Amino acid sequence: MTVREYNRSVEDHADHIFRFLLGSLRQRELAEDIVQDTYEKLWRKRENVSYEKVKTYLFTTAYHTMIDRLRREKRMISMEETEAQERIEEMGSPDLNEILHEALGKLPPDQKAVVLLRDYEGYTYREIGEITGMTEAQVKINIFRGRRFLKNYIGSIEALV
Amino acid sequence: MEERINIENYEAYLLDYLEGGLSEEVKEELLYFLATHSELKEALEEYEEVRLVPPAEDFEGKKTLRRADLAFESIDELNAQEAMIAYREGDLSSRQQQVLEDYLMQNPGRERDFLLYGKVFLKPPVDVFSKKHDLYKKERKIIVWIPAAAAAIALLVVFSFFLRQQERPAVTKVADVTQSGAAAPAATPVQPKKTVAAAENILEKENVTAQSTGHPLPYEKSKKIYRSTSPSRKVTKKDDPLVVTRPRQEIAAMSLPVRVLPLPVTAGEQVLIIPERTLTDLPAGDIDLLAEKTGLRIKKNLLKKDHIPRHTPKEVFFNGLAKINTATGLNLNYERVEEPDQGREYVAVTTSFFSYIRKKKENK
Repeated sequence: MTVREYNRSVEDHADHIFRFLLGSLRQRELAEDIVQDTYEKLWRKRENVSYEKVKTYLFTTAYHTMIDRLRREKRMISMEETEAQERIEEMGSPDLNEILHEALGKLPPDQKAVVLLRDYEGYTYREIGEITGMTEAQVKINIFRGRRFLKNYIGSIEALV
Repeated sequence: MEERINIENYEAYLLDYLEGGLSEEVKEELLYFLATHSELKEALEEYEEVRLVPPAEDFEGKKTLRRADLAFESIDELNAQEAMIAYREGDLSSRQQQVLEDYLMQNPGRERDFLLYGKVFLKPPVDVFSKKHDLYKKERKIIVWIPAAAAAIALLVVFSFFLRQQERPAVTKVADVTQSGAAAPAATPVQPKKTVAAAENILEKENVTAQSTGHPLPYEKSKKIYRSTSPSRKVTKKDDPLVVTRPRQEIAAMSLPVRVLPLPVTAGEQVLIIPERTLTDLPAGDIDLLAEKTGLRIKKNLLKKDHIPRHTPKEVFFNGLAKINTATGLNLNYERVEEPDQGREYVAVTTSFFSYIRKKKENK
């Protein structure tokens, strides 16, 4: 990949990677840090990555870096999740998308990631499998479980309203 | 005949008996042995007391283990949820869709679920990555024009050298003639005084130019230009100093203390971070070369964070810092605080400057 192609990948995909990480982590600073790490890794391996494959490479790297970080900083994340729970009470009257994103924060990391890749990026089950290292069946199961949780969550909110 | 069961081994037989693993013959022998050793009867009772009886409880989630028909040939309570999700995901064929729609017609109570599944698709937020400009890399066009520039400079050097060679012999010759007082050859009539004056004027003019402007002579100037146009080439050799434009005292004053964070250290990336604003000012090429020189992975702290709570094994940190000091000729200061952690000490760096990353071995 040339430097120009690398820069084009920043222009084309950095926002998408960031949104995916932000949706998964709900921590802006950590998401920014992982985007930077992801592009740092791409820069160092640019000679082995073709521009055609760069988006998948970026999402794969970002996903695995995120999972690594989550494992290492488990304590910190659990604190953040507590804060997220408090946030929903402060949201007042959020719209459906906001409620869905709050519910998303309660999903396990695997389910969260596959739902985000599916909804934000429109990836197929097979492509999500390539990124996350899961089989197509595992991806499907995670999406189904995630959707079912989201449905129950908004169902309960709707019942409350 | 020697008895099979005795006071040394009876416990093994006893356990087998309790497990129901003894043949009738051995069982009789054991019971006879226990009857003849009344003091061991109590042991038998104790063993019988500690035997666990399984509860009569059934696994409540058994029905969840049943497999739903995910081909959706027919829809029932078991696979209705999956079918609805698959419908919303666009995974169903038109025939399967029809089967589900028929099911929903027959089970109006399920319609709400179906409607809710239509709402569980996330829309991406409008957030943008605000630090994107830090990720861009400059295209190294320098590589393309280096040979051309080098050729041009070489030509310039040769040309200026040739010019000086042409001028200097004439001056020297005339000066020699004048000083020795000898007459000039008839074939080359010259006017000594005038020529000497001209020659002196040329030399004087060159010296005045060099002294007054501070610029070296043409040849030196060429060399200077060559160096200044490619500063990062200077550090390609490991022993060469790295060019740091910022004054060293200023850089040293910027380095901030290191402190230990009492968090558990796990295997993974190790990062050294030194206060920002110093090497972050260096061009990316020089950072790469510094990394090459020190054998470390170095990255600029583009996000300019003040606090990055990561851990670095003590020896990695100090070796890394020493290498950077050696490579840059700097003397970065740090305040070292040690805390033993199962015989190994770690430091965490709380400020940012630039960082290097290396894979840490498994901490055994």
